[in-house]
Amino acid sequence: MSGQTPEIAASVRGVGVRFGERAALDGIDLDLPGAGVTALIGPNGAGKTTLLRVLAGLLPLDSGKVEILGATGYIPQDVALDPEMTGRETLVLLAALHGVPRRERPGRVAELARAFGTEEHLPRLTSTWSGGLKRRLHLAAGMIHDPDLLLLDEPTAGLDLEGADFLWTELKRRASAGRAVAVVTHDLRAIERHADRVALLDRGRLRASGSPLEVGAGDLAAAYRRLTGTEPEAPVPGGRRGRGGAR
Amino acid sequence: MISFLDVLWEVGLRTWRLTWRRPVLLTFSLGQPLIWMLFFGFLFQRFPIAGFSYLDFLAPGVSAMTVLFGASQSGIGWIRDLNTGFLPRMLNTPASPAAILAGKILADVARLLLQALAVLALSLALGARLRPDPARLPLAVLGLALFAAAFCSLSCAIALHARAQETLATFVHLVNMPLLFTSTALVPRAHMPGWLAGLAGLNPLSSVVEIWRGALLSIPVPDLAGRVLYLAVLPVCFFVLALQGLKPASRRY
Repeated sequence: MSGQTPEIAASVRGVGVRFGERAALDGIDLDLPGAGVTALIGPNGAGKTTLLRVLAGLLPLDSGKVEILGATGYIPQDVALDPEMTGRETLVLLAALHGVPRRERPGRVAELARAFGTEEHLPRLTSTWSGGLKRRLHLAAGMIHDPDLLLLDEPTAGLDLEGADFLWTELKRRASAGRAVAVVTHDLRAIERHADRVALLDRGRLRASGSPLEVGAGDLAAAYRRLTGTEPEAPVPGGRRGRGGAR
Repeated sequence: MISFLDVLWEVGLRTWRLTWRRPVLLTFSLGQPLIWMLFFGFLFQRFPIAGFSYLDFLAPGVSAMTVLFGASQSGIGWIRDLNTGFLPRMLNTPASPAAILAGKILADVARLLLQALAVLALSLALGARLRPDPARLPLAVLGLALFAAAFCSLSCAIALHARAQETLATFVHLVNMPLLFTSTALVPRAHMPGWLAGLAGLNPLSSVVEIWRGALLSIPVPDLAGRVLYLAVLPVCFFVLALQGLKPASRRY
C-alpha cells in the first residue's frame, strides 16, 4: 500500500478484448478514482467481468492500454477456498503469499474476521462453514493485503443481508481510508446508497459513467432501462447468480 | 518484498497439515510396502544374494519404491486445489510460483523420506539385517530426496496439464510398474537378461536403489558420481516442466 492516495487508481484507454469473433470490450475509456467505490453495472454479457479481469491483469488486451497505480486485489464471484484448511490458516497463508509481514498477520486476520463477523469460526475447517460464511471468508481473504485497488465480481451474490451489510460497510471504510474499489453488482439500490461512481456497460461498450446521481438523475433503474433497453436484474441475496457472458 | 523462504515455509506447512489430516492415506502408504516385503521377502527367502538374505536385499528396494509410489501421487492434491480454485488463488498473489511449487514439493519430499525410514523399520521388524555405512548415508539420503523431488515434480506437472484425477491415476500406473520391473529394486542386475540389465542401467529407480542399498548394506556402488549427477538433473527438468503448468493454472482464477 502506497503512502499517499493517488487521484487515479486505474486508467483504461481504448481497451478492446475479443473472444473469437465477439468483442467483449470495445474501446473502453474509464478512470477509477484513487479513493471511492465505483460500481460496474450492465446486463449479462455487457463486459463487466471482462473489464474487472483486465484490471486484475488476468486477460490480455487486443487493443488499448491500462495503467494501474499500486497493488490490486481481485475477488472473483466463485468462492475459492480449501475445505481442508481452517479459516485462520487460509487467511494467514494468503497474507504470507501477499507479503504481509509475519508480525502483522495476526492483527490483520483478527481485523478482517471482525469486519466480516467470522471470528468465532476461524479455528474450524472451512468445509464445516455455511455457504454464506464461506463467501464472507472468501471476501475477507481477498482484502488480506489491503490493496490500493480492490476488484470484486458480484460480491453480494450468495450473501445474506447481514453479510451484505458487513461487505458494504467494509468497502465504504476502505474508500474513506483512501483506497479504490471497483465492484460488479446488479444491486442498483445498494449502488445508489453506497457507490461514489457508476460505469454502465452494454455489449462491450461504456454507455455512461459518473456519480449515481449524474448517471441516473435520481432513478438509476430508469436510466439503466433507457441506456441498455433491458430490465435491471434483481439482486439475489442468499442465492447465487449464473455467471455473466465473459470469462 | 516477499521472502522466498517465507512462502516456502508457509506452503510447506499447509502441505504437511493436509497430509496429517488424512491419516488413512499415510497408513495405506505403509501397508503396500509391508505386503511387498511379506510376499516377495518370504517367496524368495531361499535365494540369498551375494552374502545377504533376499529380505536384506529387498528392504532398500521397497523403501525406494515407496518413495516412487508416494511421489507419483503428489500432484493429486493440486488437482483438488485446481477444482476448488485455491491453487489459482495462491498463484494470483505476488509470491513466486517457483516458491509455491518448491514449498509443496519439499514438504512432500520430507514426508516421503520419513515413509522410507518407516519402511526400513518395518523390514527390520520382519527380520532384515541392515549394515549401514554412516559415512555414506548422507549422500544416499540426498539421492533419495532428489529422486523424490523429481517424481513429485513430474506428478505435479502431469496433474497441472491433465487436471483430472483419473488421468493422473492412469499415468501413475503407466509409469510406476514399468519403472519398478525394469529396475534393480527387486532383482539384482546380474540376474537379469542382457537387454533388461541395459534398461535397468538407465532407470532412475535403479540409480537411487543402488545408492540407497549400497549405504544400507555397506556394499560398493559402481559409477556413484554419475548416478548422483543423473538424480540431480532429473528434478531440475521436471520442476521446470511443472512450473510451465502453473502459468495456465493461474489464469483459471
